[in-house]
Amino acid sequence: MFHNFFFMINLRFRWPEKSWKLQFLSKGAAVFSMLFILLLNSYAQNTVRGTVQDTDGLRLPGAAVMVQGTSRGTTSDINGNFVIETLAGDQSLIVSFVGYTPTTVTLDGRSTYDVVLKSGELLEEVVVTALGVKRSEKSLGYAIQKVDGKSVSEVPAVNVVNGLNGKLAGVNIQGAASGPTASANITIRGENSLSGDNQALFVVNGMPITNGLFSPGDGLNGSTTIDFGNAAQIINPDDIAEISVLKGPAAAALYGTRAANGVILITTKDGTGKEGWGVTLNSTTTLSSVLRLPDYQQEYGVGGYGKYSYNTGTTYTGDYYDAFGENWGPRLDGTPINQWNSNGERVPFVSGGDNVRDFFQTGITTRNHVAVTNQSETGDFRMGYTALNSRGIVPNTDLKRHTMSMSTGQDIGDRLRVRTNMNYVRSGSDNVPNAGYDESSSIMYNWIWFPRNTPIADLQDYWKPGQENVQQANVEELWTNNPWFLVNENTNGFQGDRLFGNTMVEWDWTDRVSVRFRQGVDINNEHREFRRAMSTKSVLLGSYREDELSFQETNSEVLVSYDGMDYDKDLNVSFKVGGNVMRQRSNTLRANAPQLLIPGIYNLGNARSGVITDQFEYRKGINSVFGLANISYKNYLYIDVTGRNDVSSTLPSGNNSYFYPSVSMSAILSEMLELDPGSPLSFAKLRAAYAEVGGDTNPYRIRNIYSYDNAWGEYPVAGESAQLNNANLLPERTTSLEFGLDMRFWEGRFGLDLAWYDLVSRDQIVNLPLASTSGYTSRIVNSGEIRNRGIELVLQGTPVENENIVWTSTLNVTRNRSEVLSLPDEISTYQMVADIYPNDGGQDLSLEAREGMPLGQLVGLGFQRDADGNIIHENGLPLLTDEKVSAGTYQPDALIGWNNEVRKGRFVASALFGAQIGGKIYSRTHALSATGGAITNNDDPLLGLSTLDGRETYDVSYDAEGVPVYTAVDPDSWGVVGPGVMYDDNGQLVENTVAASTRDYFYAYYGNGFSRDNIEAATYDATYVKLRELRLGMVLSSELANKVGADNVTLSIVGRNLWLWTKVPSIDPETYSIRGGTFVPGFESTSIPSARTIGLSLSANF
Amino acid sequence: MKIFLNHRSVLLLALVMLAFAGCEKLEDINQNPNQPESVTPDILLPGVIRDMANTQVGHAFFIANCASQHTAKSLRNEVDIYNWNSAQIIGVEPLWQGLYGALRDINNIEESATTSGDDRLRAVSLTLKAMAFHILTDTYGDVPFSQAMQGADGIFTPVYDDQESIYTGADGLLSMLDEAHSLFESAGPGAISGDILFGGDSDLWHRFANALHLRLLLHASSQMDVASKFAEVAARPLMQGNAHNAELTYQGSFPNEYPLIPFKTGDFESVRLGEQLHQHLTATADPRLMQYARPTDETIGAENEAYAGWINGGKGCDDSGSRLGYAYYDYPGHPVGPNKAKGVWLSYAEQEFILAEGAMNGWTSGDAATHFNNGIVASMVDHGADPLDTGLASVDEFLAQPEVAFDGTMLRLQEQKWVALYFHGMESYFEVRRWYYNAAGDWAALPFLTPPCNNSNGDMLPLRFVYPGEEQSLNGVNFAAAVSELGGNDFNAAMWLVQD
Repeated sequence: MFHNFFFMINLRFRWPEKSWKLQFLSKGAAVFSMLFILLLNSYAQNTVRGTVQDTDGLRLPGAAVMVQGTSRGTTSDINGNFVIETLAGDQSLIVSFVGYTPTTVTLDGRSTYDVVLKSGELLEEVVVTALGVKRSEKSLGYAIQKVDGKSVSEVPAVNVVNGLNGKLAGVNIQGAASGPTASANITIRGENSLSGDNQALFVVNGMPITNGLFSPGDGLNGSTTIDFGNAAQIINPDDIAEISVLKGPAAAALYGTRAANGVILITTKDGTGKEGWGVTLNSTTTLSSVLRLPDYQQEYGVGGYGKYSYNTGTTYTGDYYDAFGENWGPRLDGTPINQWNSNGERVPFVSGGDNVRDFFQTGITTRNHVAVTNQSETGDFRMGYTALNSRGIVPNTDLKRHTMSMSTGQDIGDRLRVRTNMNYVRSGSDNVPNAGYDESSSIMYNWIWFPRNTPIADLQDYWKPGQENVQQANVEELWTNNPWFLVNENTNGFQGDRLFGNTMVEWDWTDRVSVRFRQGVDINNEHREFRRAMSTKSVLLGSYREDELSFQETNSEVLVSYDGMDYDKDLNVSFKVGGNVMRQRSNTLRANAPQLLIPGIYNLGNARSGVITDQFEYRKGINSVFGLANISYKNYLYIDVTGRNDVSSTLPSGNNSYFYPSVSMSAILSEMLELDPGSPLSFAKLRAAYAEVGGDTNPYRIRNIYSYDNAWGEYPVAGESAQLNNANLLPERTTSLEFGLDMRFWEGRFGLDLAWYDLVSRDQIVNLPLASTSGYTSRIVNSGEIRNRGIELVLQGTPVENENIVWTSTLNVTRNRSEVLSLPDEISTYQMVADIYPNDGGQDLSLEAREGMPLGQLVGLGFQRDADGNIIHENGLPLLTDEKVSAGTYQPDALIGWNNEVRKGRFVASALFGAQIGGKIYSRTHALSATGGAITNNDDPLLGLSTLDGRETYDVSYDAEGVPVYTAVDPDSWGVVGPGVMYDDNGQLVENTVAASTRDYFYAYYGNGFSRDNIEAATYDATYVKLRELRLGMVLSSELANKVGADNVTLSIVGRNLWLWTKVPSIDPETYSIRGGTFVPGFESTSIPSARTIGLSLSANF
Repeated sequence: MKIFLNHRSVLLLALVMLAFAGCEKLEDINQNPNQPESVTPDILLPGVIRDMANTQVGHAFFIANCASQHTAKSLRNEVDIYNWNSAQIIGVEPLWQGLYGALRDINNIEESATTSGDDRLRAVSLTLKAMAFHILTDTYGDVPFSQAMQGADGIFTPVYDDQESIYTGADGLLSMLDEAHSLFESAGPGAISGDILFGGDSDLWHRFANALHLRLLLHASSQMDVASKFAEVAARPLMQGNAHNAELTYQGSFPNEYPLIPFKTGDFESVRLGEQLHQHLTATADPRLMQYARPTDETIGAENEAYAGWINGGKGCDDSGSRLGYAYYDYPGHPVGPNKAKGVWLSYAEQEFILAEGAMNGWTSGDAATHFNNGIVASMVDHGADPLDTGLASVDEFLAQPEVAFDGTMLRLQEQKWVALYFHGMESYFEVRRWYYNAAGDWAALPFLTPPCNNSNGDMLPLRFVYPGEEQSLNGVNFAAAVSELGGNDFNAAMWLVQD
């Protein structure tokens, strides 16, 4: 496991001052044992030694160490070490350093003291705000929350967005479980768009970058569940210096339209901070395993109604049930039965063990990072390289990612500064797992039907002998594919190149006026290829598709600042004016060979018939001018006024220019009231902000168009689009009002930050469904009004703080409600996602907006119930409603993140807990697995019946012709009686007493036959508690660090997603679906199990 | 503030200019480079024809064949057992959305033909329109018609027209086909570009329009006197043989292959030869058995290949029902049929049975037996059925059998028309429904059919399909009016065609 690290540092570094050699020979483990032994040794006894560091573990050189009550003292050296002679009677040391709170250390006879100093400037915290302007936090009239770069890099997540989960109030992040590239859904202060795009805007070093999903249209074979990841996930945690989250439109008004959903501002590291050269190394290796699987049963095998015997693998009734595809078969009691691989022999019918779990493998992720920095008088420089190599828990899935980052700044004379930040990321995978209800490449689809009696290893040779690349071997021939065949043959690969960064020129015209020009670019090119081997069910002749996706955005920005700050005056005014030109272009090209000619050749030239292509180009531009004024009075009252005018290419001329203002105020009550210095309240601030944001839409929505369809031989084909466009579109509007209170007590030892907001989005540009009898299926209109209201609470404190132990704790609590205030007159309900699981027949499940109700209702059929809520049965089976009903909203009642960190000397332990209270999730995995008889259903909080109850059982024998003969065993005990009521002969409701076949019961319970269209049956309270992150770290003593030439070496055990508590059966409730390029919260379908990750991390600074 | 007006402002200005220089006009950026705002009708026509053909094949496979007991589902048998509220249509665009979708471009074609004065194309668009609305109204009853397809003009919630007026109104289906006939006749034969149904021959469209006209008159004959109109239309140019069939010949590959081919094996094979059809074909030594179905799995490729039917609504009775014929599916390891199925809209065989019935009813003076025999022979030939397969020397020998030979009874006509309507879109169900209605709901009058076992509708054949849910939520007021007119969105509610 350590191999990677030593591979990385088995290098020579040439130091400017001294040349030294670092030669670890590859016996890594042995070296580490030595380090541990050295570490545990005691040191000499004659003098008092120690180190001085800050709460982040950074060694502080030049700190003053004084013996209390004397003038004897010393300062710490460049590595923060100090040595001081003490005399008998000396009681304590006082350690101080500029910018930090002095600390008293009691002399208790020990010879070493590791002193941790806390930053004393808590109240003067500086944050990065819109346009990259650094401001004192106390002057801001809106909510902004800062996350240090370390908090996403110390326990690194493959997707950086997941690393923010639980650390921010008001921010809802749902990590998915769809393999190494899994997307993360991030929304700030709720969802305010009916069209489904609610993702926060990502801004890196002042310039927006895309966080798109890039899943244009439906994927292969109707599946959108191959998750290539949200585009911002490639930001490298090792390169992040700081993350600020601008939560509301007031904070974000200056980023324009896209910032209405909040902004994640990321500042990357540069070369400043350490004079001369510096080197940072980081190496993390983690192992992942499945966190949670459904509760698979081990008592009954494949088959139907108690019967199974293999014949040809194509019959699902009658004597054989050998392609029934469900686990409603005979008992796994060792009865001899013909099986799919027994060559007509009768072999014992026994459990295949924990075959699903056995299929998964240990995921391994290694991340190695090196950065070189240099700071001189006139400039700084940093280059970083990170290699990420991740093997998923699904066999033959992976992700490789190389990140190069460069930041360099230079002062040219006294007045001109230039800085360039560039990031290049190359990522790729040979296979991204499919997490959908799609038999052509999803193994999760497979497990629903997979025989409980088949050991997974029995299928590992997945071709029929002599028919390699032509015919797979599987347990049956009609429905499913061999899981090994799927992961090894039906792959979904990609290669992506991403380049983003910007160049900035800043010129101080006068002492008060400066001009800044920035040019930012974000380029994302991705190549994807999808292989489907011959004999894949529903793609019998195989297929091969290539997608080429490219995206490009440029931003050119000019900002002129006037700094009116005059410390002699009470009233000060500063202002900025600027302009921005944004251009976006995205191209999609798909080429599909729908049938292959030669087996096993994946090339468009190998198409049996023509290659089907489609291509699309999107372009969009926004020109903006904006201004900002900061007014401050006496250092305790601050008012910001902003205004922005956008002109968007996507709106009809005449309506395409829109202005929006914001005003915010911060009042430092503690200064105004001149608090008594001894008061426990040390700081209090009141914020208030009002903001508007205007919004545009997607390109090409003004005029009706015809779209091309697949040609009929030599006949080209086109048809009028079913979407009615609108030449009179208006810009969308969002207005927000927010109030906040920030209070700190006992010199900042405890803090409370409370925010309340009310955000209304109106004139939304939505694709409103139309009755197809109108000739169109939808039209683009301005319509609908959604309100988000919520409270954010951040409590932070240091419950324990002494020279031995410092315990800091942060609690983030979020409560948001999105409510649909109005919908267009024609409709009472708007289907945000109309048919979540297409092609399954029956009534569709949908995600809907209903007037006067919380946004995001989970809608489908429900149970017919009596007045007391009991389910009404007929013939022993539950009855479903004819009308669609809602099973509630996915919106949680509250989200909680609780982070704790305990430091003791050089040791640190931190744990981040995350919880969701309330909210609903529909689990299709559970509904399908229960109807398929694969799971026990014992963990279902809604239905107290087990799939093991009352099953039909038979003794199996064979007649002379080899036809199975079934003899019923104890048929009186067959069937289950569903909890609920039924109508008696007089039409009165009485307790249900009629037994139904167990399989039939489960099918009727979850929906009409195969359609599982009952939303109520599998919608659960999504409440969960998770241990999201855990870290046990140790900073090596400086002596030891110095021996390897390092300033600082930290060794940590890190873990993610280690523990989960929930009442939701079968799945990790923290998940979602993806349809049509947007996230669909509240619905889970055949998702890949989330992974528990644990590993070791080593970092060193030189 | 004298900072302005010094030489540095030039530099500032230059910087700003730089930032905004080279920018394209915003209006130009929103010019859609991908999709045209208008196209010629020859590009629309193939798409319309393909969509309508696919819709009909899909609905024959999943709905009509099962409802008319040609086939039976061994799994998901909601159609068979008359549980039509939750009927499963997998991988096929629903009839409602599919046909109203096709009508969008049919209207565009009509508009373009009217503008350009292309009468032949206009007649084609009227024929297509009549076809689409005919299937819609015959399936559902009252449907949006006069106000339908006018979303671009701001009519988003069209009213429902009653079926009688859709059929017989001044702008109704029958008038539409009269108008098409006059246009075809006055324009004379000529080319239709983009026509993949008849290879661009407007004369064949003309014949199809008239045959369709006869079909509609037959459908309406229970409610109105069609005699003279029938005679009038029967005298117009009609199909002369299988070469005139209104059917789409599919191509060999996706996405222009026979629409059932992309299905999952299990989904395709869950539809089996119906026991009623199996018995009838066996009893009449009909060689179409070997084309409509494959031998049972157990006997396939064996010396004595055997065929079996699946009982509609039967579950777990017998699992050896024959899969459908080689013409309808295609996968490795199984022989591919030489006579690949086509997307049938209306065949010459059907037209002959219509004419036979017209003659029997005295609407025309034609010879019913001749038309009857023409229909059988055409159907045999079209399916590539070989009488030798059932031990018959010739088709004539088949026709001479007492179980087959025309005996002047409506039952005999119904039997043979029923056999010929295999995979004829929704028409087999429409005809079975008409016969069932004419027999006053007495199954015994239709001995080739039987009430499905375990059916959930009290042995009553459902008379219509329920309106799709989208109408309720998107066209609620008009939907409610239509439902109330009908006496409920119920599949037993009688539409005008089958109203007492």
